[in-house]
Amino acid sequence: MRQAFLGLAGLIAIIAAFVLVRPDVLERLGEQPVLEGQVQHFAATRTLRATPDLAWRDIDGNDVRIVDFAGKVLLVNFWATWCAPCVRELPSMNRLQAKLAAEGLQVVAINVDTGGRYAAEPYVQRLALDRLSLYLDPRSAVSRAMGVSVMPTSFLIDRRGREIGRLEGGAEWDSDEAVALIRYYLRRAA
Amino acid sequence: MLTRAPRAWPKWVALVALVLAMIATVNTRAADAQGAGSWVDYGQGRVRLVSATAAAAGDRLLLGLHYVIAPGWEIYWRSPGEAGYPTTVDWTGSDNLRAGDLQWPLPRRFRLLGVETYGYKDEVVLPIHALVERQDQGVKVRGEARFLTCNEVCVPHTVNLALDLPAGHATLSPYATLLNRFQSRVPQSDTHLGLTLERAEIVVTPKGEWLRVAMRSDEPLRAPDVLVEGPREFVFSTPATRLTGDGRGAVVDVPVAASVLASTNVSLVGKPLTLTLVDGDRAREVATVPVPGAIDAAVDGSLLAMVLIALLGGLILNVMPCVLPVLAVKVLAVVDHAGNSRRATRIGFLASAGGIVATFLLLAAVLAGVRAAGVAIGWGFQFQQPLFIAAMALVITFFAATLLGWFEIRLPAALAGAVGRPTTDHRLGTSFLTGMFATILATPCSAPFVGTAVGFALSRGPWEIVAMFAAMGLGMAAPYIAVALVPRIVEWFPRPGRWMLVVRQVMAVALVATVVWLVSVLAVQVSTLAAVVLAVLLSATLLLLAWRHRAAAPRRRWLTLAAMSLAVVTIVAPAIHKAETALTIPDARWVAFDPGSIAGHVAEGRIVFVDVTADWCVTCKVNKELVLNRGAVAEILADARVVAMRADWTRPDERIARYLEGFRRFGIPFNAVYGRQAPGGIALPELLREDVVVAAIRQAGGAALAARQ
Repeated sequence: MRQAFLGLAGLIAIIAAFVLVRPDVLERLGEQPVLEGQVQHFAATRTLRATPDLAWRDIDGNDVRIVDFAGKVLLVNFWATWCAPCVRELPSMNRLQAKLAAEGLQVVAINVDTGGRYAAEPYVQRLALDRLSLYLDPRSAVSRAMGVSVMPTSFLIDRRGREIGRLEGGAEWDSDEAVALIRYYLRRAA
Repeated sequence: MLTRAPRAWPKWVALVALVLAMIATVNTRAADAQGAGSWVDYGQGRVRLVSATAAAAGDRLLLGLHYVIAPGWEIYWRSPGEAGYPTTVDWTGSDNLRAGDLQWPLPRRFRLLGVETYGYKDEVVLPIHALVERQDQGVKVRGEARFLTCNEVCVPHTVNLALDLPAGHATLSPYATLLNRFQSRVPQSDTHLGLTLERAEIVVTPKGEWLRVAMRSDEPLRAPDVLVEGPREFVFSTPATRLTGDGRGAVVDVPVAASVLASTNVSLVGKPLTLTLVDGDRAREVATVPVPGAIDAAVDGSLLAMVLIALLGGLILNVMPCVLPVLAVKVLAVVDHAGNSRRATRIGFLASAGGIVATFLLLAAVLAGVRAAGVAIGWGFQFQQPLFIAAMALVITFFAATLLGWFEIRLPAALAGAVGRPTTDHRLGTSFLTGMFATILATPCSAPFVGTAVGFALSRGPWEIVAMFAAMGLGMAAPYIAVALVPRIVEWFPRPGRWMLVVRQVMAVALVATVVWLVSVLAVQVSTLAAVVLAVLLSATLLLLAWRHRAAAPRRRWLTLAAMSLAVVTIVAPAIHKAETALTIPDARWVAFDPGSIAGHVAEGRIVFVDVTADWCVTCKVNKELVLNRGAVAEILADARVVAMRADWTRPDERIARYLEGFRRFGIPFNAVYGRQAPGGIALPELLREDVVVAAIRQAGGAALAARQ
């Protein structure tokens, strides 16, 4: 009985000491990202996963890679003009960029139409995507390397270029629950 | 042994049965393999190649791409709608085969996330007609199929399909029925289905364009529908369908919207379309080009708005350059009343106003009638008729004779009674006719607001035409009505005296000038010979009238008769002489009107400027003198990067009328600018201004041209 008490006290002491040294652990325990509503199907990776170091293009033909955005949390989205749910969610990504750019988020929307710029540009104009650059991956090289099979697929990438998780399917990205999810990672990865 | 024998027999039977069963199974498997490739499971369904025959016999094959689609998922028709893409197959790797295009069974409409698409669910076979190159050998079919399937997400797929057919006899495969079932659902373009397209027209509503398709069937329609395929600048959404009286006709209204790819507001008028007329399982494919149709019933309030616009348009007609030829008639109307009693003045001006409104109603009746007969007709149509020109020239000649005191015009008693109270005042008749001729001569040209009002009226029923024209008449008569209300205005003129005689003579000369102008129009419209004949006849008539005036009473009667006969000859003479030559464009800068070539010029980066004009359109001449032939605009039009196109509407021309209708205009002057940024054309206002034209050219994509100025 007395031994058990001592054991328990010892355990408490060890936990207390740990918390004193690493106070952020408790915070993390109490603050899990909430996956509901628009982002309920968000699939977080167990461990942060490296992303392929492949380049897509901007509209001037320059190579662009995930590493170019180091220091920012990225929402990388693959879309196409033939994909109705993709076209539907793009304006919400534009609004999300306007809302969270100051907090360190960068939305990277990559078009995979084989027609490239000529296919995609009218949509960018019509949807008034003034906060997003048009990026192109007409041969789907990057999307395939990232394991995209469903359109749309969006990835959350941390400040060091590692995949936090992905959402297959469309969402309203400026909804409260999506913003809360992204803010969680913006704070954590700070 | 004997006891065991009965037990051994069933064992043997069982073995044989087993072997037979195995052979049977293998046989069915073999039959299965004959005429179908193996399934490729793509996650949201499976797909394979099938053949109607088990072996390659003869030079033709009917193949099919057989999809069995998981619930909720869709694959797309050849025109997928607002999203999606159709299946494409690359046959590289096939042997002894030349595959034709995929055939598309009638699709269904699906709506997902507010986007309308055409496609297939559950099961479909896309038939493929193929040719066998060497008939004594087997066929190896290899296809790489690219397709998209969507539910709430989209999944693009590329799958490799294979099917081998040995050379052999043409025995039907187990898939022949399936293939033929879907083959029979592919819409055909022949008429044996009993579905016919009556017309396809563009209807304009306050909310945008509709494509109105009228179709007929030889049997009662059950579920009529129309699928529309057209240029990618347009999106066609779910139509509203209504059956006509006997149940064999249907009118299908398809809303047309500009797609993401449309750069400016373009009209579907004149664009080639493929329509699939559908009734249940029957479907027929028809290629057509829609024509401009009615402007659809706007909301109630806007009829009132259009009436106000018509009133305003009528008022503006009084100050358009086109009024120049009848200025004399108008001045006369005022001067004539100098020294009259207020009551007489009031009645006289009301008579003129009545003449104006009556003329507008007459025009309305003619337009409604001709329109009902299905002929494209525009504002100012009367000036395209040589008979009308000749008649007008004659009437004005009589007018001039009246001014000179050689002749008096009397309104028929019945008409006089209708206009006002019966009166012996001959000037009442003159006033009424003055109003009529001022109107009929001053209205060949369109004007701001007039174009809108006429466009609205002509696209509606006869009652709207009458209402709009009555309003326009009231607008044009407004100055006369104003004087009738305040007759004191006329009292500002000096008392009648010698000055009036002088004015009348000056006006007579002005009217003769108008006649000269009309004769010159006829010279262009018919021929110089016709114009000369008319001029001679008119002079003769005038001389006869003068002679009659001075002649003694007994002679007057037969001189009157002679003048009248000559008048009849005058009117008919120019009509007998037919026009032989095409209207030529004397100005080298301008090319002949060819609406079909505009798109080509625009595609090559040129600016196209279209000017629709006519010899009788005075406003057009003013536009030319003040804007088109001088300064910045003239310089731009002379540039090699600009195609200046002129259409001459002096004579009736269905093609020009239809072209104008594409812009919902029915009168001239009309000008439009086309360019890369405005492939559908920018219509300019009736009265041109240099800055407006330059701005339109800049907007159409000719910024470099416009900037140089």
